[in-house]
Amino acid sequence: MKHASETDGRVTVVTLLEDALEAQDAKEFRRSMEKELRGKGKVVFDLSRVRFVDSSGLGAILGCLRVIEGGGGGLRLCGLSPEVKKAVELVRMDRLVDVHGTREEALAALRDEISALGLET
Amino acid sequence: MTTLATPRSAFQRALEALLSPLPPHLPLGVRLREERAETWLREPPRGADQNRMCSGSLGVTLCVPAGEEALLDFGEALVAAAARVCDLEEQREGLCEELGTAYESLAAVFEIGGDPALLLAPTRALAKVLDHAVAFEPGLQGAFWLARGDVLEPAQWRVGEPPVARDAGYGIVGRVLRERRGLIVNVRGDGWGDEPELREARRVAVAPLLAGGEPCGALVVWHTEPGTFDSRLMGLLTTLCSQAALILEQERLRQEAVAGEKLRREIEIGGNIQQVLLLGRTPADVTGLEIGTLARASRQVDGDFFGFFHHRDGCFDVVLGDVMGKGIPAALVGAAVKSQFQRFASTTGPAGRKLPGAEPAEIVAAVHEQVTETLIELGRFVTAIYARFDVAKGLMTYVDCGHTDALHHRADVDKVDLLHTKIKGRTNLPLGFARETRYDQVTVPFGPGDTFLFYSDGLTEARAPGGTFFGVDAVATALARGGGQRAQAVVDRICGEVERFSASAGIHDDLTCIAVRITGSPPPSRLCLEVENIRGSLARVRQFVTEVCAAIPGRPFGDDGIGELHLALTEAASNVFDHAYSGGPGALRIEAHWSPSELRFRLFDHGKAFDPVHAKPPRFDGSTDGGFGVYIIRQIVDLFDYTRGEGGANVLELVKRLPRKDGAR
Repeated sequence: MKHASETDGRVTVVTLLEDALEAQDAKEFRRSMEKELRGKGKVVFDLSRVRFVDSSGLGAILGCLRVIEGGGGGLRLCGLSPEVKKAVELVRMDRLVDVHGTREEALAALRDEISALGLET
Repeated sequence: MTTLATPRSAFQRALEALLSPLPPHLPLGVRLREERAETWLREPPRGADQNRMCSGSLGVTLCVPAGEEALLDFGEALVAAAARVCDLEEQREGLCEELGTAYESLAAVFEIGGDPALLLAPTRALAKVLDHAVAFEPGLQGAFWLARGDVLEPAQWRVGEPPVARDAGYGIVGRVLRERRGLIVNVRGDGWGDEPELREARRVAVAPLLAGGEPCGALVVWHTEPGTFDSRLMGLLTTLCSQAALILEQERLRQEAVAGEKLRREIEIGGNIQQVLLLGRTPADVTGLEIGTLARASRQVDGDFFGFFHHRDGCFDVVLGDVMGKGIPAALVGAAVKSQFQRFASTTGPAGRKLPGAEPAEIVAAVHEQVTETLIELGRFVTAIYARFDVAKGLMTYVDCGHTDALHHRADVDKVDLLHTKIKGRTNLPLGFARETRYDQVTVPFGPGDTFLFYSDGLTEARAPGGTFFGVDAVATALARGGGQRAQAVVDRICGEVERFSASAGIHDDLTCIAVRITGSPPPSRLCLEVENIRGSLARVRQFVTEVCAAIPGRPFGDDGIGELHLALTEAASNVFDHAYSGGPGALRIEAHWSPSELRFRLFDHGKAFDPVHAKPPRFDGSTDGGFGVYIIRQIVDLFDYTRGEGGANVLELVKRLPRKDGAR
């Protein structure tokens, strides 16, 4: 899974660049993410270019969530297509991860969270 | 056109008098040419270029629409009658001159001749005739006799007791009828017998009533006082009898016209039976074929019928039949036989077997069993052809019950085959021919673009003016020329050629034919995909799901539904690749079938046995990130099943009910 990572303040935004996150490349995505996101704190996955996510893809995202939360960070999702959103809801992942409409909304929510905690932006 | 300067001739007057009682819509035009002037006594029917003109005697031209030639005979009979009326009038004028002094009699003659109401009411007219006869001399009694067969019946009488009917050869009237000339008897008993009404008579005068030279009745007057009847009285009686003959002749013609109207009504009723019961609607929505029909009723209704029975997409039955005989009885038989076809083609077979499982031969046999006894009793029989089209198989199976041979235009070789049915040296008999008989069926393969033509013999037996038949070869040629056209265009072309061929001879039989054109294969109700466990195959699976959803008639799944199915099928396929093939190489075959109610996917692989259906439910607390696949599938589809098939294949089955059209799930 090709992806682009950028840092916006203390938030790392990972944009997934392929249109499907599924069995055949979910493992590889998860492995590279776990390495990359260790100790990163606040992370946003921008899925706006992803048209399809299956249970393996969802599993990969959950794997990332555990790594990020284990390091004291947090994960937000944004830009979900209706089809991806449906998959997320089916496995009730929307209860574990905050889902935002756009990248801006996700970033704004994280900034609020950071300032509420008295941390620098 | 007629000019005022030209007085109407006696012939024209007579003809007009005869034409006046005809119904205005009777399509008969009459033109009279006299002294270089032409007059339409009845306007020609509309669409004059289509009319048949017939120049008859006495300067009369008759004009009827094509197809109504039978009316020409009627018109000619009217012309002949008018000529006869003229003769009678001349005779009457001669007699009137001879009569000279009898002003009263002259008035009587003109009064009767000039009153149209009397022309339409013969009884009243005859009463008037008799009144004038007995007015000739005070104290006269009289009777007007009409011969009906061998019996003489009193039509009118001026005497105390009504005379009784008697043998036509009896007494003085019988004698006059035999001799066909008037008789005066001035001496009691000389020439008459013991007729009760003449018991007191002292003198009797009898004039015969002659119609077309034949005696058909007599006018009798008598007196109870002695005296002398002379030729003046006989002249009056003869004149009055001519007048009466004229009235009776007009009445007969009027009744003929009324009967003609009754015939038209019968045609109209028969036409309704034909349209509603025998023919019905041509279906327009049969997948894989299209149908053209022609049903041109003749003046006399035939018992041609056809029907269509739709079993499922691409499976479709056609029946076309022809009852021997014409008129409403034939139409009723046709309706009855068609209803039996309808019954057996669309409900339950003879042995309680559910149709459309029954083969065409079984359906025909069931109909035969139902109708033959009755048809034999009625002395009628029915030829028919029953054909089933199975577009998916590309086969037409038919049973020919002594009907005209169907035609099959094969598009690939552009050739017309005559489907002449001879099975094991025998042909099937018409229905109603024999109680013990067998109906065999024949199967013919067809391809896209082929056209089949079924027709009744009215088509092949249409005649040219010279008397030759249109014939099956001409039908086949017309069919071949129409190759590639829509079915209705083919039928219209054939109809047009028959009309051109018959031209002025007209078409006297019903023309009935059905063209069935194969438009191509029906859209499949199944699709298949084979993929290897390689990168991109899951995307291919989703593309397949999209194709399937697009192929289902009515596209019942919206974007959301298709998205769910993408997910379910990707999960199922992933399961096969990950578990049955353990992530290694392997092939997956997916079949999709659909019906109006559900969509069914079956996934076949040859990996190791793996039953995902009984996998443990996943945990949703984030502590595990696997095991969601089966859960997702179950959330989406209505049935998820696994079987280990024969030959060591894993078979996964996913069934999704189709959303209803109203949007409810």
